Amino acid sequence: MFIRTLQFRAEIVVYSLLDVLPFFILFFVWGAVYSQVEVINNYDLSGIVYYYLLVIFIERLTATHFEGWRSEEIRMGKIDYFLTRPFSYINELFSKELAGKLISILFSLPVLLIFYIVNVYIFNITQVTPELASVIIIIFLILSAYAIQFMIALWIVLFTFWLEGSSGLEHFKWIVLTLFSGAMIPIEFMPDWLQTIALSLPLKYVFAIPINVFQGKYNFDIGDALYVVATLIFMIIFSRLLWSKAQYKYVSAGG
Amino acid sequence: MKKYWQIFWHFRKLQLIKMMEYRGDFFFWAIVSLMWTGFNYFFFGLIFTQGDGVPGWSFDQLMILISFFTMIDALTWSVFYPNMKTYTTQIFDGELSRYLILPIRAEFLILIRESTYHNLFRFFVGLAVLIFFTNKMQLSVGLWEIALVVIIFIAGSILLYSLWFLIATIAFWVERLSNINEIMPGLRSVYQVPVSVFTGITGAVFTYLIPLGLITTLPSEVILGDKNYGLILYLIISAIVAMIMSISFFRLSVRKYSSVGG
Repeated sequence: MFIRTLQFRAEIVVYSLLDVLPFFILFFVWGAVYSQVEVINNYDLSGIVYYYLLVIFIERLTATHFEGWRSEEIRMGKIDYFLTRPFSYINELFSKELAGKLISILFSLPVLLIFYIVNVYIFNITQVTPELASVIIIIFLILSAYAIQFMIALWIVLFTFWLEGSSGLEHFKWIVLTLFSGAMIPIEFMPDWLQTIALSLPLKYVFAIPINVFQGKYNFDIGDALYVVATLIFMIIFSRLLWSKAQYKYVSAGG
Repeated sequence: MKKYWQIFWHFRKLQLIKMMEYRGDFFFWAIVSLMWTGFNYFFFGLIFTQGDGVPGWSFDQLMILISFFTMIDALTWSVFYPNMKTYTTQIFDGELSRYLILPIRAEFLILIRESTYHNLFRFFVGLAVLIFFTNKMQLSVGLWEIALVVIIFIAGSILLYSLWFLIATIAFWVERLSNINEIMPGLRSVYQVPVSVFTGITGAVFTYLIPLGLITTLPSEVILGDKNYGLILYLIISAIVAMIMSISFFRLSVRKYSSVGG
């Protein structure tokens, strides 16, 4: 798997550049906005740039992109042999995705680090060194964010067994995630109605909360931890339920 | 010329028939496309209302700019993306030969063959929002302004498509780069905002070197009553140069093509 993913190293570097490009543009937009005011919602320009730099890292560490081709694989009836093996399709999907993710991190990290260092220098960002307890919480949240994104993507794949065009749900996933997770804009900048929705959903633990914990702006307590764990348990149960039903919907005919 | 025109419409008809075959898929993707359009307006509307907004641009003026972006975006996903995706896939799979042996310009077929229709709604949403804010701001837009906007829009589209064709043609020279087609969509955010946002070297790059920043800023300025004829002419010349460069690069690259795939 490692060697197979290695074939795509040029693509990974291009993807990393494409990942940072919208943020590069966004920094100019925020630069224009902050040219007239110094502080908005307790963020100055370097604070907002720092926020987005952390978004880029979390995005690279936690985002999943397998929905499209996995849905296609199911639609084309190419998963027969997984159904007869003592190694489930979900396990295969997860192990491949994880291996791909590790390689993708390995190749994209240098690009991201250069982008990070250049921007820290340009925007004169005062970097935060989180305490050990915060580091442990952040690791827990990053792993949870990955699991949340993985399972949402898995649901989209599994919905293929019922819906013809479920790969389009991928777009719905990106819109919802971008809107409610704090990837688009810090939650403090959202209008009240959107803040209420974002704060009530677990998606805030994907970007907004880890970044705030990192910056020492959020006191992560046991209630938060229980909420994350409960969300993950619910998502695992729902995924298993979907898979158990989906297997019986699968039809493939050769010839 | 007549032959090319007939072929162009023949492909539009074929794509329409293909679309009618999967009507459910068409409506589903139309909804997805409209969702992204709404998201774009919302996201930039949100940023543009922070603090005192973007200097020199009011919220309504920025909505006019986003409307031009939305209309260009409709073209991007309806025409540019499907054609360039097919083009690069055929280069990598060694299937481009079928275009090269036909008694017609291969580049013509490559650039016009594919099209989708579900993103057309995006164009009309952009146009409707543009008309709404033009009326709201009580701007007087005459025939000359409309003609100028259409010319800039066409020049901007040619520039974009030519740059995309140029980048996609690199596929002849590399063994494997499947996401080569994602580079131009990645640059869309450049013309999602006024070019005045970019300062220093970046501003010069997006105004003069790769004038993507002008694509939406110039038509917005014309609607807002500020015509920069120098830059409009510059954009038109850039579009022509980019078109010539991309076609020349294609003709050079195609000599390298062995038809066995990459």
